[in-house]
Amino acid sequence: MTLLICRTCPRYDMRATGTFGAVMSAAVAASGVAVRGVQCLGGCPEHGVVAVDGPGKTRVRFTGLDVGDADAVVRAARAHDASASGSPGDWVVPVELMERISAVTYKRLPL
Amino acid sequence: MSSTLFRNVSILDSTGADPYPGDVLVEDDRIAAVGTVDPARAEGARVVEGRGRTLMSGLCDAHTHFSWINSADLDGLGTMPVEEHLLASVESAKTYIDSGYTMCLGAASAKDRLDVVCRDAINAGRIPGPRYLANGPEIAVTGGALIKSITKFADGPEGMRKAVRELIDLGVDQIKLSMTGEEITGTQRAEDTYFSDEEVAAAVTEAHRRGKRVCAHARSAESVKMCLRNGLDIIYHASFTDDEGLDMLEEAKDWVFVAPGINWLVATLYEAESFGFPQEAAEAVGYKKELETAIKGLREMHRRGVRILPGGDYGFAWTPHGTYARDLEHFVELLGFTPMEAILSATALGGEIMLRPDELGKVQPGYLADLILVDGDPIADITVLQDRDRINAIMKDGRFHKEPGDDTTATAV
Repeated sequence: MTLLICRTCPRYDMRATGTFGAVMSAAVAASGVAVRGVQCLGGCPEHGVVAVDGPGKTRVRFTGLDVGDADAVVRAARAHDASASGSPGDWVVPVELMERISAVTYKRLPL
Repeated sequence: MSSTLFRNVSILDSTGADPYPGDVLVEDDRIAAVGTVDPARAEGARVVEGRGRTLMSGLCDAHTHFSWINSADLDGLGTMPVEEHLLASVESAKTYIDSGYTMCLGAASAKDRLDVVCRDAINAGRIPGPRYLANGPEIAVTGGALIKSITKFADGPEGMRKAVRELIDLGVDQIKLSMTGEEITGTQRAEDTYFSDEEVAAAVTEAHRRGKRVCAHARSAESVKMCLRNGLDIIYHASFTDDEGLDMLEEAKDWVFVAPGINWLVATLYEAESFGFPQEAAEAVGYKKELETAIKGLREMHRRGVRILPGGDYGFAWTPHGTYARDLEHFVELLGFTPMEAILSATALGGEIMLRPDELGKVQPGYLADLILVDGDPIADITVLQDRDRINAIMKDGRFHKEPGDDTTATAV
């Protein structure tokens, strides 16, 4: 399972940039979820961005998070990992995160 | 002479061979020995203990815009004062090398000399950045510009020759033609071709006469064929390449490069809503169709041996700088590349597109020491290259841009 955590949120605040990634990474560190710190996930206007992803699976991005959402983020990563496709509907998105989905990226191939 | 020994690394040499354990010795700016290093030769070298980490070539982005500055306001690229714009471009250059990219090919500059000045400053050691081949503003014909404020307009063969000469006079390394539209503009269709054969021929002939290459924003089927008919060197996007175009590409595969900028399509379709461009809007203007058509065509190009390189038009708000290695993940997941093939495209082919195939893009004796030390195995998980914390060291020209850390170094005796 892979949890992508933005390492630049809040991107547009040069004094605070990076604080979200550091805090969220620390908060999920004990969970056993594999974390990938990435430069940005492109959800910047609502900073505090993570995504769940995996090989061949749909990437689901959440925005507007803070460290208080760490437990829900871990549950989302585990549920996404356990699902076949990664697409919402194929796994139960924690209720706290339902309204925080800001992108669903399908890895669809042409028919 | 300065020397560095990478000891006990997994060598991913970009020859196509599987990674293998060994040592790599760097002397001054070059790789001196790979695999088994004569201890006498390594005497006195600074030692980096690899502990099985992967040592590989720095990466190449074949479609780079230093002066695209993570903005959602594309017209703003033209109105931004040049002083601020240069500062932002310098930051982009640093972000590239911070991300393990040591080779970049400029795909257009938002103002005349931003690319050229950055390249020269990098080469002089004044600012950090990758090796860079600089571009100028992209050339478009009247009525065919994607973003008018950052375009150099030219019409007709004589106009093209003049525009090319002026850009070469600025010091660019290659010329960019903006031949087709782009759906996000709302007015310029991706499948529309604005250049004529005569204009492309004139631009290519004049550039080649002066020893410069030409690249092109070419999404339509006709534009791809026009590029190939006229010997244009680097085709960007190639989304709607048809069967005839595929045949022509296969015939030209020894001299042409394709860099699709695939992440632009993925992110614009699915991930731009936060910046006011929701998926429904992207689908409505054609990005879903374009992505699916492009994937199909690029998979076929790959099957036919066409040289396809990563490089994703990074620098828009939803394709921000620093996320460059996502292209490699797309190559594997969408285009059917193996992880090794994706890495070869980003390294060995990078050396080729940078016009230094015998010096760049491989971990081989005699090559320039542009290396990254990766905490992980990119063949097993290509996404590890997206995590800057896992790129433990970055070397360019035999000098560390990112130090491996004090705990890993000692002196060979």
